[in-house]
Amino acid sequence: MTVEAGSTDTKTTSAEGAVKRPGGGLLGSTFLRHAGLMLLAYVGILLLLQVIDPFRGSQLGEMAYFIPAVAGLTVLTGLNGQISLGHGALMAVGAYTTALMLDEREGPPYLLVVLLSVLTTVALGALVGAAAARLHGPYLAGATLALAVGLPGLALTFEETLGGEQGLQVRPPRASDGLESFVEDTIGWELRTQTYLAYIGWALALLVLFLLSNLVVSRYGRTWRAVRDDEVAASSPASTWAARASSPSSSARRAPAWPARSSPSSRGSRLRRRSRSCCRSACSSASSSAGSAASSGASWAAPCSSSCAPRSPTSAGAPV
Amino acid sequence: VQQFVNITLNGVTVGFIYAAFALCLVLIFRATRIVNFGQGAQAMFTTFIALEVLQRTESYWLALLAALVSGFVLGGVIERLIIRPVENGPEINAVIVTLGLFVGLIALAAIVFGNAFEGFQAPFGVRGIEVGDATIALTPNNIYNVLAVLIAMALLLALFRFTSLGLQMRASAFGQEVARLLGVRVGRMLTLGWALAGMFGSLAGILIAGGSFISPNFMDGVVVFGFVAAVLGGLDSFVGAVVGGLVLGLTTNYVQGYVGQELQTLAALAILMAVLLVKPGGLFSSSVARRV
Repeated sequence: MTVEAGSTDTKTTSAEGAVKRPGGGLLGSTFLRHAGLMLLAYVGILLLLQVIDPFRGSQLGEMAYFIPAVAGLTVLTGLNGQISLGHGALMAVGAYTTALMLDEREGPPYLLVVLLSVLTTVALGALVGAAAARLHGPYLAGATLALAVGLPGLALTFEETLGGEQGLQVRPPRASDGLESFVEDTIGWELRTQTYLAYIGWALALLVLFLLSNLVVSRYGRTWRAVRDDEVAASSPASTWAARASSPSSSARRAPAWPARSSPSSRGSRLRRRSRSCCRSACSSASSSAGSAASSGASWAAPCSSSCAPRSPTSAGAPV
Repeated sequence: VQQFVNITLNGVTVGFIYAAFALCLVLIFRATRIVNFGQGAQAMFTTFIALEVLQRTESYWLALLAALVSGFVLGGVIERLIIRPVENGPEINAVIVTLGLFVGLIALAAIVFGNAFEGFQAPFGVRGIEVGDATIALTPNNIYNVLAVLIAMALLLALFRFTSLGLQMRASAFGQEVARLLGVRVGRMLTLGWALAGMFGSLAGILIAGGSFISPNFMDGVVVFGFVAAVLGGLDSFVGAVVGGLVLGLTTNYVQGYVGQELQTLAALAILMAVLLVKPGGLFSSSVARRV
């Protein structure tokens, strides 16, 4: 009973840091391959945004807002097998944090705001993850559902800061004058607010996809898949070791199967260790997916200029 | 003191309705290991049917009968047509399917019955009973709600305890293969379980609707609270569901009365997390060995 080595499609040597495919040149590096693909996609989107009219551009930007959340949910539910109905709540936290910080006239620059709200939500996600890692299946679904339904209550309670049912008005971030004139002078593109937000939204969405896709083929991704496939087997000492070892294919062969004979005392300690390592993995995936949900929320909060961003706490925290 | 008594009485009434709802979830979970997120939407749908009957015939009891029958049929049909294909797949598939059921039924109800709020008249008075010179929040309708849930529970218990059908249902929930070997039509029992849960859910739906307004979304809150109540009780135990429902009903009412209505759901979340962190399988869970 060992980690399913075949589930990773690239052979990685993460222990050394350099990730190489046997026989591959520059394209063999997962990092570079993903980075190249994302850059290519971004250039394509920038060009597309020039061709289509501004309204379609803002629609394209809206598409970008949901990508991080969906990607994060894919990692959490699809790869790690932890069901979450509470991602709307995490998006809401990201959105509200962004909205609060953008509210001040002399607030920090937009990207810093996004970074801060991502960090806030990661902290919350880690907290939720630490609690949720003890649960599985329907219990986890219940807890996250309660989170999604319960959290908007905060916005109603602190109505003065968080706006209650009406939500918050959000000042859309603008490109600084320097950047605007620089882009206009060098490339000749006009930076409207809507297109500017689409640029930023897609940049962030692709950045999240890039980070997650690297994470997924890494040691963590392997551990997550192992936990999804069989929690008990994944946390057995042999497979924990196998997942960390340099090459999964060879170590899986060498790794001893589930120890059949073990004394009761050693079994107890192993059980404890086992549940801890599973928890850690579930928690880490929860927080990484929380981060991406937050950036979703952050870019979601930004664009609506006259209307309010999280339209109402309930719509921001809608579970599905 | 009067406020405390009123809040407690309200909490018990609400708690019994949550408990009824949690019981449906437990009923289905025990039989098929699936949490039916569509339960609330099913109940909403049958309540709308009951409202139609109520408006046509002016008889509450005919409406109740219509709700129960349609709940029974709807539950059975959903199990047979929609759930059966995903029953043996991975856990997540079934959860997503029932979530889809939840969203789909609400949309369907909005198309068929409209999106407006419609009044649903209560079968009994909604004025509090007067004790001395104070009015306490115990209305005849509340008493009817509690009694209806209690009677339904007793009937359900009798079915499971004393009839051959109940024994067959318990057997197929306990061990499908063994039950099948012993001649139980397991598939039929599962359909029956869902149908019974649908019927019970529609009872909860019509009780909540009595004396208030219904709309395609009116069960959303109850779904969450019923679910939390079931999880509190361990999802596996009927007693647990009742206790969970009562605990939840009382706590949310105390929070609503003394702290603020907005924090009601957050309080439910807090209780849930507190209980699950101490006992990850709920209050009344029996410890289960995990197999490799």
